[in-house]
Amino acid sequence: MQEQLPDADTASTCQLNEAGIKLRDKCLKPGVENEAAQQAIANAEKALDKLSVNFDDWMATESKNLTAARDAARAAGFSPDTLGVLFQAAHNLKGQASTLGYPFADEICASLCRLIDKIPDKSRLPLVLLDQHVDAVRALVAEAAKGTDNPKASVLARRLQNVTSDFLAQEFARPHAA
Amino acid sequence: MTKIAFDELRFVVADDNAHMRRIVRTLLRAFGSREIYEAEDGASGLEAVEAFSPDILITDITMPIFDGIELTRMIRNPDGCRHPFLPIVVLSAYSEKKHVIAARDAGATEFLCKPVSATALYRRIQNVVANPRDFIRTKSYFGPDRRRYVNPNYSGVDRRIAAPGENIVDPNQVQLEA
Repeated sequence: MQEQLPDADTASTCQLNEAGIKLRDKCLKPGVENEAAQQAIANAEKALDKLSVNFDDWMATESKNLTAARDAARAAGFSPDTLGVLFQAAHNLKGQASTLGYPFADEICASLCRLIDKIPDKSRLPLVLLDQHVDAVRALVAEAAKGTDNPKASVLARRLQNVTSDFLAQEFARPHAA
Repeated sequence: MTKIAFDELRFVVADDNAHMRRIVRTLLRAFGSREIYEAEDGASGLEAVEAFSPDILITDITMPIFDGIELTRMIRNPDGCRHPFLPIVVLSAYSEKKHVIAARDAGATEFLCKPVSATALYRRIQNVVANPRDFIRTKSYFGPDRRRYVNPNYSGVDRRIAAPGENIVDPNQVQLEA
């Protein structure tokens, strides 16, 4: 049987990662791995807990940024620039709201990101639904609706996710959807 | 039995969100790291890599000037950066497969989804340090081996000119590190 040879476009060479090996040799020390890992992780969780005195303020700042981005987009119209800023503000919250203690705000912002990102025709962005997402985050922060044990926040997040899913499904079903 | 000497690890954390940088810095310091440099966009991330020669870069994807994917590509380009083997952990709120694949194909070493946890961040760093992967060079890619396992049933063309660890050097290859 004839041997199959790689062509020039897909052929690859493999190179020893000497820098990585040096790093391993420098930083791996004798010790009990699991014990050291557990200690390091426990220290980090404790440090994060100490840092958490700032989290409500940070969350308020991020929520204000989201509201300001929404207001600016409404005032100037939905252009790639204004929607980009709004998406970025929602995306920032999606990335950190859970760490800051607001997991439902995280979910709402994920839904808002999905709405902005996936809608085939940006000019058809539903203002009411967009406002509902932004206002829901603001309400959660105002009410300090933290943690996963908050029935109202849970229902609100689920409802916004479901309405967004239904809306996007309808938009994709439109004849000229991209 | 081994443990990671975090006090010997130097980090650059690139993220446009100051809160997120503070959270990651707090976690790294609690793990034991003392040298952590911050950058708020892709360009200053690249500058910080050149200036501080970190052991590990932790980068967000969405950042001003150029994003974390472009930053990763620039670092992996030996003509553009002095540290093409630098371990890069992409830390992003983008959890969709296309973003993970984009980061991988740019040459990222690890991908971590926000919200970040102490355990997840520790495990990624542990993997980077303890298990350095060989580097692969193709016409369109230079970075850590993207194959995480060997498929014993693979029957296609063997595109690797050399097996991992054989350190076959491409005759066209430039000198990557002094």
